[in-house]
Amino acid sequence: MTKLGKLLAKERERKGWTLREAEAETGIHNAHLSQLEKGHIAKPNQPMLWTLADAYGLDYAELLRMAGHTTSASEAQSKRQLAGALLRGLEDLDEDDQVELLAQLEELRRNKRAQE
Amino acid sequence: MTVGRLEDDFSKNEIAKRCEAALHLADAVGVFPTPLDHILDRAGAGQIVDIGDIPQKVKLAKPKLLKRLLGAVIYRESTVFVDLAQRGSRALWTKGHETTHFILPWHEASAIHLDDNERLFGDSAEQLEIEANYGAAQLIFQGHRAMQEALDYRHGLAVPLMLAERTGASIHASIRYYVEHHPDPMALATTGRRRSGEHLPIYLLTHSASWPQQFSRPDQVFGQQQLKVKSGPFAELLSAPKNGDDIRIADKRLRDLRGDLRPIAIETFDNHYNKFFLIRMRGRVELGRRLQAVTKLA
Repeated sequence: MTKLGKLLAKERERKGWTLREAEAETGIHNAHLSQLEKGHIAKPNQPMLWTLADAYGLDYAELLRMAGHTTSASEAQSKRQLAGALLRGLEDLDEDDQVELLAQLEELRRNKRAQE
Repeated sequence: MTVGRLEDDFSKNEIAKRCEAALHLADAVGVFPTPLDHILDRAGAGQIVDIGDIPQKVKLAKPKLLKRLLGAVIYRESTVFVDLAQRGSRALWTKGHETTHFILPWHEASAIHLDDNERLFGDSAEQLEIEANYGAAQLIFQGHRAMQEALDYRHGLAVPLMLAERTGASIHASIRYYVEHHPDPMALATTGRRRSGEHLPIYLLTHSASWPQQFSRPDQVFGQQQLKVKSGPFAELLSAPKNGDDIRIADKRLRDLRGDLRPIAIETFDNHYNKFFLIRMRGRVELGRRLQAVTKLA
């Protein structure tokens, strides 16, 4: 049994639900829930984890981490946050500042590439 | 090769359920083209920003990162970015994709989604992007509603061409939706237009849910990566006369999983970007409930 499986079983029991009752609440087939609890499903998908987090009142981010989704997601996320900051910058700055900002970022990118 | 296809039923149902709820919330059920701006507004998006609105001076200085960006969602600011300078059907798809990111609660864990050509129109293997594309189709074609209308017509490639006009979706997306949602066995190969020797490159193979119950995998019928067009059934098809919709049709037989030869029709259409090859069952009588409309199309 995995840590995630143990947690899901514990929370279902805390709710007082059988596997069939959990199926009725979440729409996830009871056989699939059983496999999740026993750790037979290596990496449950995100819609399923979100549904379980919602039904059991658990932290979705924590379930994601326990299911092994976090590593790739967090790497991608940090890159996306950087790019997102760029988009926000474009929204908030006036036109001259936007040109200046983009020119600076382009310069940084060129310098970084030259160092590599 | 079946790229970007959402396979698990639980995810499909969850996405379909939430897209349907968003359509209802916006009173958009049965309204085509789907009013995505209104759906986003009712779903709580504070701002929908056209990436193309960036001033000309900035555009000229735009680094490559932003040049590649066609759509984005920033949850913290409830803002959706779409490059509306794209061709109409591509802009609509981008908006449908970003709307799905915005309304699916588990997508918010990423905080930001930035989408380029590959994520929107290519063969991205990222689960959330596949889900967003599935949701885009759910919103633009409104689940099975467009298919219900399509079933009134005689089966064939003329029908998704009509759906493309009605929904605003691209011909590519409409044909794919039509095949994947059709109740009858259908298989589709989307290829490039330029031959390499005797072949056309295959970009996408897909099929309806009932196809695998009766016939071999599409790659065993069309080929895995290349479609042979120098000789054989597809070569004959390409030299068949076009009908009024520029669709070529050839009657053939295909062996099913039980070993019986079944009558099929192979159809092809060229939209100047891709060629589409559809295999469908040939019935003894092929009448749609709105034969007049089909006659007009064909």
